Amino acid sequence: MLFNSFAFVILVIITFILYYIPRLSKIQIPVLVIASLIFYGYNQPVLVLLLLFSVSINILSSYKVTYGDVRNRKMWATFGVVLNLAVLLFFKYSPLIGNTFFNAPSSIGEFLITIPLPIGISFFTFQGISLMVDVYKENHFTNTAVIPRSLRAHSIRTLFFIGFFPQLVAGPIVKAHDFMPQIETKKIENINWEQCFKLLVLGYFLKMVIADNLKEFTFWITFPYFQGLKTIPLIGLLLGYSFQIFADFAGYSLIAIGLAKAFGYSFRDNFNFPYISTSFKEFWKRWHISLSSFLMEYLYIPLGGNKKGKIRTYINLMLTMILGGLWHGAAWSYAVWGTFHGVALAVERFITDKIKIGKSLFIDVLKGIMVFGFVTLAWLLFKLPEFSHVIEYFKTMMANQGILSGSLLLYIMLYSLPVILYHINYLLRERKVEVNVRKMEYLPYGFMVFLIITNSGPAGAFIYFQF
Amino acid sequence: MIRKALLTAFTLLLLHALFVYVNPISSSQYAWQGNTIKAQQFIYGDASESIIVGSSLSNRLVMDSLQGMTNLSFSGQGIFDGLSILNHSSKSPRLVFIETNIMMRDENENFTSYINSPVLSPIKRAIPSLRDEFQPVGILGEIIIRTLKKDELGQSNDLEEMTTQRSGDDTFFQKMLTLQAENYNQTPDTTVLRARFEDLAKAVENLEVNGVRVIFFEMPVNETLCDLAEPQMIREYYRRYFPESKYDYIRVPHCDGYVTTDGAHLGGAEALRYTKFFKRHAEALAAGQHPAPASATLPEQIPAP
Repeated sequence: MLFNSFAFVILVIITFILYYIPRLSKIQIPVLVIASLIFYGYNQPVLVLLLLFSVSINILSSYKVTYGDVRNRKMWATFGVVLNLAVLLFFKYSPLIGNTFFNAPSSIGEFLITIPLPIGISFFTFQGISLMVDVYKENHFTNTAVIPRSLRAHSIRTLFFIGFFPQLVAGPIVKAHDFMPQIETKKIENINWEQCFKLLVLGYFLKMVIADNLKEFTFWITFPYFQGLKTIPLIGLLLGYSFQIFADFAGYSLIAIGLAKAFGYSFRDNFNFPYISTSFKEFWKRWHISLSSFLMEYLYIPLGGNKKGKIRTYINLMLTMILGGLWHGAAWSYAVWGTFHGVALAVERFITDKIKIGKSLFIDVLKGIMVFGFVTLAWLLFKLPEFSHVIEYFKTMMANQGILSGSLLLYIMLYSLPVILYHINYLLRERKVEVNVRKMEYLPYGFMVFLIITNSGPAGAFIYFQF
Repeated sequence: MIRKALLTAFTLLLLHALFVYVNPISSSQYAWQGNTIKAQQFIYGDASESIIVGSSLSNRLVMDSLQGMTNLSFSGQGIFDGLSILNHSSKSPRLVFIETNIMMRDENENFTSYINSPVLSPIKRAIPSLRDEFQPVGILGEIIIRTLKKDELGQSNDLEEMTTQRSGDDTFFQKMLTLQAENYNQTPDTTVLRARFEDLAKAVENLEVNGVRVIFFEMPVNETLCDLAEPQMIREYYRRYFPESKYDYIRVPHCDGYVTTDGAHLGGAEALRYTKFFKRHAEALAAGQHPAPASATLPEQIPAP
């Protein structure tokens, strides 16, 4: 079910009403669980079985870690994590394994490539892993405080944590220690309506007006159509795709955060103006924060982080980024994308260790342009998963020199402008003029509502659904 | 703050409606929007006697030359979208021309459910400024383009220009033609094809029950593609489901040397040439006459570029 569909709007309204009826306050969590299962199974009901299977692994393992024999805690935690990874590996990477390691006529290969990718599997299995690690380590909460003795109550709470519909299919990836302690009865009078309104309006604007319109132009990046275009439009399309992917995913995250808030739950920010970054390290602290912090907490640090010498630090960095790349999609191009970013982070770390670069506005702008340019070029691997097509794109860029397609460029510019202004607005947040503008913030929000009504693009699935 | 923001939005909606009322600048920013605009103009506009349904191939027909006809051919889509929109509308044309080239594309439900939406459709009927052709960014873009003059900005069919047939093996056209040949040479899945024809037969029967006469036509493509496996098989199925003894067809044998932009789509002058051919045959068939076989007709005059 899409956030921008009528079916979803109706589901949310009914759920919201039932959720806040005082007489039903004791079944608030079951109400959200049922709504989440409807949301997930709306187009493919059979997927609900997979979700329930995945959740049941975590229910059993986390319960055993908490209330089982102390000597078996590690075994149960390992069992939970490994099984979560096995589910992810089987459903997400079987086609890649089939295509790479088995010849076409092989029956195993044929079987592997036909396994479908269930929507949201990368997100909900990561949340399961987060629960297992948090329960095992007990760094953030006391297990007995968040895991009830009753297996039934624990099952419902775990299903709710993993399946809560705003974050179920495309994140943000919510960590158990952030979410589980928030589970309690919520009251309608505690809703911060203004905050919800702002998050939802901005989210829907970025998705429906910016991303959905830009995607109609960036369609031309598809092979072989881009071969008919000239250099400047090809560059314009790349920039447009960079803004589209931000608007699409940041928009989705904002809607998810806003919806969760309407039901009394807080998610951490998932995007923090990533395109103002002046280093790759900073970019990864601002882009898809829930994934990068997950990888940092549950992969990079357990691997040893930067505590085991310089060589190991570089290896850990590369490994984390390559796996992070593969998390995005079961194709080698995603691994290449992760490697690009890994190399960029490693080179940046090496240079900043050796050379001290002075600070000035000019240098910051230069670094910002470099980071944005690199990130934008790397997005091409998302749009063109065939590596040969990426090479072809650059060849065409060099060969077809010219400017034609002015209208294409004009519309890409018009739809990208709000994303640029959004970042500039953040950069100027401390200035006096910005403080004054903030007093009239109802104007841009009103303008966004107006454009959502009059200027939405054709509804499309969110890019991150495929991950 | 919420109240003020909503009030601002409401004020902007009123101003926009007023602007569109005074100065109805229509704009199409991309193919999908062009399709929605065409469909909305059909369902909210005056009835036509003749309707054309088809894919992007018949979308190239020059409608200025086909007065009294409405073209429900959509880029990237197929005949079932036009038929669905016609079926949901209250319009009852006398003639429906159905393009026969593309049969493997099913109805695009994203598109038809948007156009036929029971919620949005009545709102857009009542408030024209909310129709897709009057999107504020589109209007702004159109004003900028008009101000800077289309030619200077490179607006004039630049994509088409890039793809026009030229000599040489490494041109974009040749690459596209090779890809098209691969597609046209594939034999369609008979189960899927049969299902499509069953659907079409029902749709045609439904039209005929309402007194509509159906005429089939085939858009010319590059000569090297014209008689490959897929078009041959589609023609064979048409003969089986809609025999020539019962239905009228407008065909161009062996595609008659039409020049295309990418192997499948006619370019500007060639689209006009075919439109004239189509018009003559359509008018004759509508009048109950059977024009001379297409191969015997003289090529249409190609206007100077």
